[in-house]
Amino acid sequence: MVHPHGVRQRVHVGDLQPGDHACLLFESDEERASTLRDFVRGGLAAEDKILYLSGGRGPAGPDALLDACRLPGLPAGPAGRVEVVRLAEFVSGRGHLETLALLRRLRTAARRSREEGYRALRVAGEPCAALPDGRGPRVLGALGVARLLRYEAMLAEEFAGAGALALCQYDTRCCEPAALAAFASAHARSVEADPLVRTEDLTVVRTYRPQGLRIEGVVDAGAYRHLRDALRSVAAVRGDVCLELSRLEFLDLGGVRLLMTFARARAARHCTVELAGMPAHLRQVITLVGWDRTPGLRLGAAHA
Amino acid sequence: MPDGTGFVHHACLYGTDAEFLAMAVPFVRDGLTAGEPVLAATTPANIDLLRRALGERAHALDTAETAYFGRRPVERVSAFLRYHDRRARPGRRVRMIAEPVWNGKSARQVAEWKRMESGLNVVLSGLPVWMICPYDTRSTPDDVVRAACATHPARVDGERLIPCSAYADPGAYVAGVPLPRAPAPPGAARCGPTARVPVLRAFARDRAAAAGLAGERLALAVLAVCEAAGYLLAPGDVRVALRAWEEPGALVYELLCAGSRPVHAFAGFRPPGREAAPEDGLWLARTLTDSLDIRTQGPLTRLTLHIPDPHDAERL
Repeated sequence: MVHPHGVRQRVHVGDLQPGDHACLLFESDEERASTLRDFVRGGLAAEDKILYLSGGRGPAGPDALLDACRLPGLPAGPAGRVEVVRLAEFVSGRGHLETLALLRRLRTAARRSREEGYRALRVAGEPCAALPDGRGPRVLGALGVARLLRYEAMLAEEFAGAGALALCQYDTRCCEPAALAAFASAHARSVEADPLVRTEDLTVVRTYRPQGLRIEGVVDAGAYRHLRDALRSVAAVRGDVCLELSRLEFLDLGGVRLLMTFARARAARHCTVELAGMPAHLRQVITLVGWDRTPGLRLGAAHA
Repeated sequence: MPDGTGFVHHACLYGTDAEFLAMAVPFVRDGLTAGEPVLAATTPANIDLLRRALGERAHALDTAETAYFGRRPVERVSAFLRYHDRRARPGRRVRMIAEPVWNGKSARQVAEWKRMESGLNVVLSGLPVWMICPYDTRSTPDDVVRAACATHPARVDGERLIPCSAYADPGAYVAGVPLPRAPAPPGAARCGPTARVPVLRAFARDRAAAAGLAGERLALAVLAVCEAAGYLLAPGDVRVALRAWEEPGALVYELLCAGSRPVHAFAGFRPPGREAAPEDGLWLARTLTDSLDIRTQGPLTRLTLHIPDPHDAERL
């Protein structure tokens, strides 16, 4: 299995800056939608122009895009600020992505966004979705992968200036591991969804491989509400949930109790909650209280 | 025989093996006959005596070497409650023989255990447990034997129940048995007063690191201080001043708070239950430290935590 983020610098999608060329390797529609939502929302907040490269089943227009991002009713700004381009327009009769034509289109859009006074052109898309239904890199062959990599290299060069940024999404379910690794390495950054919680002391990020949360920083009485909300956001996840704690600096007893309550609720649905990378002293605390017997709780390996 | 609805706490002063068995055998036998869980937490020698005297019935007796059944008072209470939780049957009382170890303890530890014996009447109140605490008068210091009659409402002699006329209300008793206390030295590090836990946490961490604690032990020391501070700050609109200093063998933190809620001497002896309770954090602070002393003087509450220093070889 290819590591989803490789050795590239991982950033929250909302922290992308003009000049960035980033990738997201996703394995669920939820992850794709969540990241795209953060990407679009960030663009609207930053006064960027947004261009979405839509595949065969993707949104057909700006309203459909905002709907797909679960941002209906959000003011999209002046007409033309959110644009959807059908990737099918850039697929040759033989089913190949016409990379040069697509790049020309993006170059034109970037120039126009500058002329229109936007901070940057913000492009997102799923290059593989350009291919006809049912086809993907699994059947793309080495030549098709090479063609996409050339597109990525040219895009990186094109967008290296300050006037544009791009997020390229690849579906891990329909790409070979080697191709995924190659696609990932063609980007300087990888992204993950924006944190569910970001305060001075606490950051909680939704994770998808495995499904769960990464909890970083300090959880004390002032943060219970944030942690409770974040846990609620993964309450509907099907299957087991992993809470990654290796960057946790402090968790008090009330915070541990919230995790135990969450585990019990998951147990009622016949699912488990794994506490991964847990600081060694927290395992001791959980055992002292007797919470190591909490139904649904799995204590993963301790963080060194 | 006491009814089975609440906590019953008796002492037994025995001076011979026969006197111990005269209490223990009928107590255990009657309990087992009634289908009640029965625990004997006493010395290995007494467990041996009891097993031999019980014969076949000994198979049904739960036993624990008392020195390891809760080494400190807070752990002792947790051990009692854990036994009750794991063994209790609906409608049946639980019986316990619970003989503390008194020999070799420091003055502070003896005071803590005397206070706990009294505090059990409060902390375990309402629990359907009949507990008999044997005191071996051959080896137990005289002051401890005298204290047994002040900390237990009655004592048993064989099967005979004798009320303790010296029994004292637990609150009054502990007020008369203060823990030895060394005041903060003039050079003690200070922080606050503040209502901000992050400030107290950073100070606690710095002092623990300065005392040579690291890794897991440092994290647990910081957690203990923060839980104690969080307990004092919970009512809101109060501030905590924190002092820290080192004594041979211990890092001492002292938290001072004016105007917090009234804190009774037995607060934080019950481990956290299914539902959150205000004293949960105080229980953890007690459990993570060698000693946690609570003193109130007018509106002022003082919590003193003794945390073993890096020279505690048991934790190496």
